[in-house]
Amino acid sequence: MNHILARVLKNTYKDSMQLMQVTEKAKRMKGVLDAAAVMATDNNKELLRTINLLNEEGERAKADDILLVVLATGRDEAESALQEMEKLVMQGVGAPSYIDLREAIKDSRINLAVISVPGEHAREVVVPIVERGINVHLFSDHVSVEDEVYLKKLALEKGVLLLGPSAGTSIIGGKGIAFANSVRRGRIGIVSASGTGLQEVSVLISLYGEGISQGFGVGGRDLSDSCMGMMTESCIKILEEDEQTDVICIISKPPGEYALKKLVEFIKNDTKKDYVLCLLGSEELDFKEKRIIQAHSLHTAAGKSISLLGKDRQFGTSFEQLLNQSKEIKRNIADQREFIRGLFTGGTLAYESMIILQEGIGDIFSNVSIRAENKLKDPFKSHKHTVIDLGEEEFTEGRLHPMIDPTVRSIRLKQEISNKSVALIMMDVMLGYASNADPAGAIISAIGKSKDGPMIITHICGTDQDPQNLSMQKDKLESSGISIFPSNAEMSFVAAAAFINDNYERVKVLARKYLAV
Amino acid sequence: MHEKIRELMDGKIVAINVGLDIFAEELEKQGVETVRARYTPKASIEKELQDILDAIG
Repeated sequence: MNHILARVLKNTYKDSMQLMQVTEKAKRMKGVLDAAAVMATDNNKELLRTINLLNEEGERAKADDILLVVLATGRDEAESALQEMEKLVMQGVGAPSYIDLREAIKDSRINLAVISVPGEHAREVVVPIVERGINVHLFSDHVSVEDEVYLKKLALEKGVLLLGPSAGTSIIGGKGIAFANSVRRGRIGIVSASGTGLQEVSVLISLYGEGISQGFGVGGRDLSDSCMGMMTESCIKILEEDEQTDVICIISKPPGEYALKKLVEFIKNDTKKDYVLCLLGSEELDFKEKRIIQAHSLHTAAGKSISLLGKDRQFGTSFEQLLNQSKEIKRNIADQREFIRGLFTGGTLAYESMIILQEGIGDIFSNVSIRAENKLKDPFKSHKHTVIDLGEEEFTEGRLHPMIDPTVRSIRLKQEISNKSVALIMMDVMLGYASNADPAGAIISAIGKSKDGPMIITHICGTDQDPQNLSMQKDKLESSGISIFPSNAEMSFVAAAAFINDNYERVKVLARKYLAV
Repeated sequence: MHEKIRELMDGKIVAINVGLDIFAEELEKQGVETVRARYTPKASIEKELQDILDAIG
């Protein structure tokens, strides 16, 4: 008879990556049906409750404790798996050898530090590194604005890069740092305040035959009025000097008012190369210079960057084909099903999708809503048309980002599928270094054998050179009857067009603005 | 441009990783020499003492 056992390791801390590795190993142990090794935060306990893995012992665990849970075919199997898990937690899974940070930075050959310590410790860790003239890619979230400004000023003083905080992606010297895809090298440089924005644009450029010289991730707040684009400007100067770069593409959510003004003046007056400015959700900017172009989506940012290289080629899917795809969706939606649900692991892809849907069909509810009145009261419950960014704090506290560990999305996906009012589910599938080994597989296994549910459409952000392999991930989804779109903007446009009733003009405006077709 | 930025852009990266091991693993897969460093946060009493010393001096 199936048996659940839990064990609490009091006041013990291991990072989420180590715990996920233990979970993965435990799931493959003899007689084990399901297992979890997590920090016992409220968020993680809630998730375990949802998948019926939280018993009384687990309920008692506190946020500072590690909670091990096993569902096995019998008590003996559960007991032995728990023992093995505890051993793995304490010893570490394949734990590599570490050296002390202060010793490590004495090596004069080191030129890059990749840092992902908890945000409150970032300043303490970064200062001695920057002072030694080492560039930093700072992945950590929750670094205070004061610390960010301090660290960036220090980096500028020392003449090095401080990429981040919250820098999800960089591509430097052809190497992907943190979450990045394996893309072609070429003559387009990217400076991005968004990790998944950089991934999407670099992948699209690569898929259409061009490449990236350098891709600098400057962190989501760099173009805020507090940071005033300090690192964006510094990276632009580097790319202006770089002989391998002809076109520079800037990506961000809407910048602060003053930061935007400063950036625009800087590009107009102090640069010579060609520019694409993709400031998602920003107003129309007025450039008289032909070398500076604005893009309203990541899709058009990639297309316009390629066209600035002087390459006149077909980019993206034709308007007619996209329209047919939206009609197909419309035909397949049962009458009583009304709403769209976007379940995203990439924050900027969620944001871009929300902008396109909102302009097409009106109110979109979200945990990261553009309009305050459309913010979800409970991020764990969708309302009408909803787009969720599953990488936000409320979903990631005490656990890994959903691009690494897809559990949070799998649970939400099951909930949305069983909801009879849901007509269409749209998702991103992020490939690349550091991402989950099989995100398509995770989606398929969450869908299970359910039929007659909502339509499911996806966008895969990846290449055939990525560890997960684009073609293999595509085959998996297609063989399960799931549609795949080559860009997030195309997927979002098709979804919006399927829900715009008898307003062809609005569909055309949307396509022109976000897809340039 | 700082010499260490030029080195990065030329792909001659020697990295140090502090935090999630997966980032070190992925750099190594791309042939980047990566040192894994351990960082232990200062105990709060030690940090308070350091702050006082910094303030004094």
